[in-house]
Amino acid sequence: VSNKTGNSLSDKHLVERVLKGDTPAFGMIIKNTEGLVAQIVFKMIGNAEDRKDIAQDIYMKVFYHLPDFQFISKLSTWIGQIAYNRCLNYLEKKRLILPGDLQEAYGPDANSAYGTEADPAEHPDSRVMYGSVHSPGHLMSNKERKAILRSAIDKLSPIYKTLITLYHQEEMSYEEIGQITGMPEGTVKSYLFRARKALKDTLLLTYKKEEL
Amino acid sequence: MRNEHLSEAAMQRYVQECLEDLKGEPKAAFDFDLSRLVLAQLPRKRSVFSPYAVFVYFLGLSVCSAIAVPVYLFGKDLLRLFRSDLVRLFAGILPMAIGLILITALTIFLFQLVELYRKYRAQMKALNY
Repeated sequence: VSNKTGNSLSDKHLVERVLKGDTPAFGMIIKNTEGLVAQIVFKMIGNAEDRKDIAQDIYMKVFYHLPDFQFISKLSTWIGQIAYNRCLNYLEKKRLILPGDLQEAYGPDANSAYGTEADPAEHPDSRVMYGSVHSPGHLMSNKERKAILRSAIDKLSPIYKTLITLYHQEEMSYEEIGQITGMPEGTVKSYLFRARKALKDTLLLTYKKEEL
Repeated sequence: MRNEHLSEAAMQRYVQECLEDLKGEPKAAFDFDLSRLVLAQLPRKRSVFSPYAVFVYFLGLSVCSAIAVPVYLFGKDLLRLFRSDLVRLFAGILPMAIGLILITALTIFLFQLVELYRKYRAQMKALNY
C-alpha cells in the first residue's frame, strides 16, 4: 500500500489493466469498492429501484473517467466521491434536499457552530470510548438499543446519515470524508457534532418515554 | 416510575456508546449483481486507439505541411513577388481603420474564448464528479 495515497498495488494494477482495455478487470474494481458505494447510496437514496439505477450510473461514470484518476487519493475514496455527488445530484433533482443544506455546508459560517456548544464527549477522535458509564444502555437490552439507534439514524437528513455511517461504521478519517463529500474537515466535524446532537435528542426522548 | 436520571454528559457518552455499536452492525449491501449489470453495459474492449483522433491528427498535420512547406521553400520569392501588392493593399487604408479592424478581431476572439471556456465549464458541471 502506498503511504502517500493509500492505494494498494492491486488498485494500481487493476486501473492499468482497465486502461489497457481489459474491461473485465473493472468488475474487480466494482467488487472491491461496492461496499462503500452501497453505504453511501443506501444512506442517501430511499427508493430501491432508484438505488439500482444510481449504483450502475456511478460505475459507468467511474469507468469513463478512469483515465482522469491521478492516484492522488485512494481509488475507493475517489469512487466514493463520485457516488456521493451522484446521490446529491439525485436529491437536488428530486428536491429531497433543501438548497440551504448545501449552502450551509460550504458557506463561511459552516464551521462556526462547531465548538460553540460544549460537547463533553468531543475528543480528537470521538470514536474513542470513555469507559463504562451509568447509561440507559444498562436499562434496556442491547437489541433494543440497536433498534432505537437505527431508527434514530434513519430520522437524520441524508447528509448526516452518510457522515455518521462513514465515520462510525466505515471508520474513515475526517480527511477521507472531506475528500468524498467535498467539505472542509472543519465542516465534517461540525456536521458530525450536529448529527450526534440530533441523535442524542432522539435517544433522550426515547429514554424519557421508557423512564415513565 | 424509575428514579434514575441522566446528566447531559452521561447522555452524550451514551450516544458515543451507541455509535460504537454501529461497527458491529451489518453493512448495507446491494441485493443484485452490480458487477454483472455494469459490465454488460461496457464496451468489450476499451479502445485505446481512436480512429477519429488519428484522422484529426493527420488532417492537422496535412494543413500545416501545406502551408509550411511552400513558405519554407519559396518564402523569399513569394514575398518579392507580392511585396508591391501588399504595400499597395495597406497603403490605402487609414491607420484608424487598421486599429478598428484589429480591435474588432480581438473582441471577436475574446468572445469566442469566453464562450469556449463557458462551454467547458458547463460540460465539466454536467459530468458532475
